[in-house]
Amino acid sequence: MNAILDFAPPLVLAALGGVLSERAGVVNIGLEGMMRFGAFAAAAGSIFSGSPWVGLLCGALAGAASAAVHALLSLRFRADQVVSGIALNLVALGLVTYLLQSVFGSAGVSPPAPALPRDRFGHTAMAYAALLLPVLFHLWLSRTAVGLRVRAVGEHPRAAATLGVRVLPLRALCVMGSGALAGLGGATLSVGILGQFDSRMPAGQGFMALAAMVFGKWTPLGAAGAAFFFAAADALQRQLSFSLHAADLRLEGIFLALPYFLTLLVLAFGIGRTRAPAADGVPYEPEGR
Amino acid sequence: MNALDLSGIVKRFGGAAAVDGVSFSVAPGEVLALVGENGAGKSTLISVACGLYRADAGEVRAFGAPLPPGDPRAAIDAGIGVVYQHFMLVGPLSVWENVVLGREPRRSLGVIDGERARREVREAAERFGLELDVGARVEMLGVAAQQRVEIVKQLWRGARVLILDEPTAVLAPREADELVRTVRALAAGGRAVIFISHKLREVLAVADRIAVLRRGRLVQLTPRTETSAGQLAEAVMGKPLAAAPEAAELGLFSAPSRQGAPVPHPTAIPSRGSDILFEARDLACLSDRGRPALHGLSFNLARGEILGVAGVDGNGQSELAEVLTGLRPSSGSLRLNGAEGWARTPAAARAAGVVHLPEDRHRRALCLPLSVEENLALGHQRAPPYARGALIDRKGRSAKARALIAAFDVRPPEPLARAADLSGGNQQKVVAARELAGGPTPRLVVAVQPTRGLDLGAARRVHDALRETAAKGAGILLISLDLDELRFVCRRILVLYEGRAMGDAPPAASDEHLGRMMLGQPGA
Repeated sequence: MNAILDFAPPLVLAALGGVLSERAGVVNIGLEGMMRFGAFAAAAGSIFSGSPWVGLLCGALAGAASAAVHALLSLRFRADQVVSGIALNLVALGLVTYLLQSVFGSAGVSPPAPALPRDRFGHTAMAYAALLLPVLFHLWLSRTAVGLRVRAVGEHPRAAATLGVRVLPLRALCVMGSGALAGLGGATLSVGILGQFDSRMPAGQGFMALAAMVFGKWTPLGAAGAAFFFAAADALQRQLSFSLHAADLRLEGIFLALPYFLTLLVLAFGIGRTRAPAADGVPYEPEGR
Repeated sequence: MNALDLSGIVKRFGGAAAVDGVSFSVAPGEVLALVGENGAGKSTLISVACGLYRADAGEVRAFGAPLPPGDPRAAIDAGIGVVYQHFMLVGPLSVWENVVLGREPRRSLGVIDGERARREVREAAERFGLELDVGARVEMLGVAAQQRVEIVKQLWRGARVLILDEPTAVLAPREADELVRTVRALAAGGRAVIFISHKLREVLAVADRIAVLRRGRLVQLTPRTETSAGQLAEAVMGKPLAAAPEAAELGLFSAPSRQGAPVPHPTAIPSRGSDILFEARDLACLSDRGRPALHGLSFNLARGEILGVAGVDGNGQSELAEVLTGLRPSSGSLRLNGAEGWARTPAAARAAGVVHLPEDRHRRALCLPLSVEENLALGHQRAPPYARGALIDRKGRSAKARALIAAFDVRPPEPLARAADLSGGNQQKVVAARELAGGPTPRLVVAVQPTRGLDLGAARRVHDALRETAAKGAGILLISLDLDELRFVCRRILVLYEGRAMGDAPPAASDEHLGRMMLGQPGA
């Protein structure tokens, strides 16, 4: 249980980021890259300031900044959103490796970074954030005026535009918010869990977050629930790989594939109403006909 | 003071002026009808009036104050509300959420005051006698109810100028009469209404003044009492009626009475029991949402017959076309020339001689970036003259394309033009040429709204091609929302309601008779 609360927050935060962007109608394959930027920026911020909280803030800002590039490409220039997201992932992979080398002179890990404090149950603040944020996000999306507009813009942007909702700025804000959440998730990996940046971060967690988003049917509570479930599977796998003999390590691959496999099952058999927002990934042209 | 003044509005798309210097005004309490053919600039003009498009020249004033161009919010705040032809509703949201979107009553922290919103929306609907379930999800409502949501949406926002874009295109006759009453009531309550239509009959019933647009220009603006259907039809077309016998074809000139149909075309061959080409028995299928779209539909089609299929939009017409062309699985029996099993896949259906003029020619009929010549060959590309062995026969294809272009009068007559660069009417001619004359003579033609959005000349060409194909012995299923079109082309009209046949009627049947069937009362 403790392990779940340790592993889940990065996944939960990034999955919420995915929900935010896609409910507003922008596909965000770039979660992985945004997490990577966030993880590195958080470690660097924490090391240079000496405060993990400053590190978290840096992580969120770095995620939002990289998301702003995605927003610019896909909204302003109407680039293909999937291509833009993949490009972001590749840039994150290369650029962060370069920064790690040039800032810390290391190809593998950063120096130890001041880590978030843990309470007497051994949890960081992020564990509680991962429990609380999905609920707040759900209330925001379903009850507030802005949440209503986000849902409308993701389903039928022109309808919202005829009522005076400014589609592109709203979508841009959601994409940047999505980046901030993913960056915060990445920051949790480096200054929350490990206490340093590892050049393998986030090791596919961004894609797993996308899977959780789909598995959770693009709803905040569903995505967070799926993220917790995947984290539990991950924790179980780690426990098992400790206790199993080396020969059985091939089982590990199966556990790693589990989230994706489950997501494919959901998509293939449409358990319940699995439907992406209608305008997800569709560029909006203000004077289109 | 006028409610809305448009002066000298010009709007160009890529050099071509869609609206070219239009000026007129509407006063409070007045219903102004705006008529014109498709493409005359009606929709563009209102998109300018409500701030969705930025005009290239001219000014919009609401109650005397100029509106900033390209600012929908300012237009809404000035009291201009538009009900678009394609509804601007967010399907998964509830009725009240759609109504208040963008102007949500709030409590603290940006939280919507749902109770107040629901109450206000309910009151707005009741005040204008519009029946609405405010909590329902919009995508679950029928078309007429969705239109009421749109109207309430504008009224709740305090619209004092209401613009209705082709509001009756999707309604059954009785629902349209209801709408006309609502519009008159709104005007009596002091609102200005702009009613856009190409149906002169409706316009004469609802409007105080009638403005005619032709090719982006205002060609006439008269009080209703000083004009007539015939005079308006001439103004809309820009030529005397005698020179345009096709006028009746698009319902431009349906008389205001309910006397029935114009004389059907002489080449339409009546149904004869002995000569059945096609037979559907207990046909059933599901819609995209997994709900029954057709259930227990049975009908016959004779060789050489053009059978019309009428109904309010969304009563199974699209699904029927997809079933017959192999695009949608179904249960029940389908016989064509006595054979079954031909509707399992589109390839099998085509091999059996079924051709399709789909509803959405951009998405389903044409590959827009390809040339006209390539589009004409699609689906026939493996057989001569389009191919020789495994390779494309460029010469043969080009010669065939030129012949089809000439026969169907595609303009410009340029086989290498991109399909995307043709006008809608010429695109449809390309589709008709390919499907009806591009390969072997078809056995069954499934045509869905084949003249929607077409000008009179193109519509006439498409109708002629359907008749010629029928004269060669093919059976034709013409699915249309336009009763006047069905009356003009068909000898028999089958009415669909919720996926069932309500019976068939001769084209001379009255609007009331057909309308009752369209709303679910079986015909005699």
